[in-house]
Amino acid sequence: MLVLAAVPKVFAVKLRRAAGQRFTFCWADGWGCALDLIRREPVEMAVVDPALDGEPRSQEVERLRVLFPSLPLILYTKLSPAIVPVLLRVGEAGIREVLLDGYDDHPARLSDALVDETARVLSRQLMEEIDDVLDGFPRELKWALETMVREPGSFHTVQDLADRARMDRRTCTRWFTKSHLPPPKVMLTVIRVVYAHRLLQDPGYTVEDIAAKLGYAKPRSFAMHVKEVFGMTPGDLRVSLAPDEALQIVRSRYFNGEYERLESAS
Amino acid sequence: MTATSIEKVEQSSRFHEPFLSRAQRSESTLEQRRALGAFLTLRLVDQFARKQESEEARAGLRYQMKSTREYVEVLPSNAVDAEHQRHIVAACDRVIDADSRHSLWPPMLAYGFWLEKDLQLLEALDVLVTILRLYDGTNARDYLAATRQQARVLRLLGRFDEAHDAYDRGERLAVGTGDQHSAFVLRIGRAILHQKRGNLPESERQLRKVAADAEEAGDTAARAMATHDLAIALHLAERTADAVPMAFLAYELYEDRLGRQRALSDTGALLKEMGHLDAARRALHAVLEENPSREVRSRAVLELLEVSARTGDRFSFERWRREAETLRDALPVDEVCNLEFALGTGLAAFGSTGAGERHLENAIALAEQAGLGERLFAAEKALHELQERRDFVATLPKPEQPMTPELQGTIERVMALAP
Repeated sequence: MLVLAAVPKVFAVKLRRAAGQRFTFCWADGWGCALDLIRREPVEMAVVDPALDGEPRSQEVERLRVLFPSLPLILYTKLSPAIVPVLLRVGEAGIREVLLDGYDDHPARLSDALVDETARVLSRQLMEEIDDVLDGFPRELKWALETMVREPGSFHTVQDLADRARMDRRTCTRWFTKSHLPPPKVMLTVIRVVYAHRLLQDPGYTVEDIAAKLGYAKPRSFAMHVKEVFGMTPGDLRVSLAPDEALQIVRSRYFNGEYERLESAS
Repeated sequence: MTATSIEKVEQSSRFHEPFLSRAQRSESTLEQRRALGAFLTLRLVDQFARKQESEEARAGLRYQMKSTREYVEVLPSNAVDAEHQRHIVAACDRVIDADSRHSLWPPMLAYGFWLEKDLQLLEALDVLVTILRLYDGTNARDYLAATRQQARVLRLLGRFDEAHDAYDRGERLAVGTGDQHSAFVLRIGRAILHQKRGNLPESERQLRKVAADAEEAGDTAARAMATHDLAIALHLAERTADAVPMAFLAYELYEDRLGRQRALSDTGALLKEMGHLDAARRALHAVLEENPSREVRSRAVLELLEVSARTGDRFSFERWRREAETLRDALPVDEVCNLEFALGTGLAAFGSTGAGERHLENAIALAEQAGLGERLFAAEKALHELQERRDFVATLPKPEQPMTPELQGTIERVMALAP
């Protein structure tokens, strides 16, 4: 999982030491850089210091919250009189996890804080919502599908999926057939597009951002996939459907065991 | 709505905003550090809500504890809140390797109680919600004590729905664990909620029921509490003649000293309200003769201050005034306000109108600062009357009529209290 660390270098080093085995970090030395990374890279969580620019301020953190409400944010900062009003403001903005330098940043605690936040990560939430669809799948295959959502750049083919799930391609495909699901290639597209829809609910992303974030070489390819799954453009998708509505559509079209029959019929 | 309202209370306290707000409002660095000391202490306690099973996890906890201890250790030794924080951190140190977290409850409840008495109500609530999160199902007594406290603080904050939920939750647990006394106490608390909401008849009905049920169950302590609160409810309903016998009955029922002293002090205050000043004086003197706690003593002295003003006894007035001044520094802000009010009206009654006005102005300032609406109204009214240059003594309430047999009997028993 890719975590943005918009914190001073000394904090970034502590984070890497504590959780570098389980998480990959990308470091931002300023707020502009942080925004770019969130938009373009598959960042799923962010650790930020309101004092990144020197003087503690709540505005940048609040801005992140407004632009990317689905992105779990953890504050990591130094306790001082100046940070107190900032903590109050960001607390009002709904940020609940704060790590204080010298108090909460033992490696075990840093690691636990990140692990705890993964439950709120969008890709994890999506996979939990479709867990019933993947009932019976081996754990490795479920994990591979979730990783596909997280690391879109590293998954291009069904073979990539099979390799990550440590099975051969035929076995991988058979699991989908057995569960009356669309073939893996279609499933990858469908899950990716549903995930994209969730990300599109955050006002901070443009359609092009999402396409880049999900590893599409061209926004047009992304738009084509969205049209295939939902029959509309990404822009329309963003404003037309709520997340649960989108999932319901996808369930009825792809996950109800009828896909195979429909494909055969057509 | 019931579960959601309590959840809201709990969610907001995870950030310990009341202490951050206090730090932000502080006028001195020292005050700010004390508030942040509390913030850090509660964040340390928060960690005990998770199982710290691995050695790594415990190492993380020790790291945080060491830093927190270092922070609170250098806070002034004469600061009561800092002392509470140190006790809590010390308790954390003791339980870190233990299976049970029970030792954390007493210092946390004590801190919550102190904050409540100091009228830092949001802070008190934060402490209580923090400790309640540590409940693991094995220490129901502590949980019930904390729930009662939480309900009371919510009531004082005027958050009646949440208080009601807390009383309900506590009563369910008390009944479930066979703790009948706690169930009675929680029912009394819920009955008082009706008073605060202005439904005095319902409050009276519920209190009478609790008193009767407690009597049937042989729970004298609960019966005393219910009877005492019933006296207050009757007084609020302007039935002070009925309230006095109840307050005195509570005094006779109480086995614990503090309860007895409070009930007798209230009896004296109610008799004063009715204009039975000799009996009021006897009751209040009897309270002082029992060497009461500072809280009870200060209330009795304030009442005697007023009695002496009404009887024109300047000698006694000055005696009680001197005593009240020695207690001033330890009084919470609402009692200091009462003191200023009593001094203001008393001095005015003796013709010292200038001094009387000054004390009433102090009372007004304190009431405004602490948000004491009723006291503010009373002090402003008294100041206005004084400034109108009316005969101040004449504005004091006349003795109430009529006398009932129960009231007469109570007055006789009060007068018979051993000198």
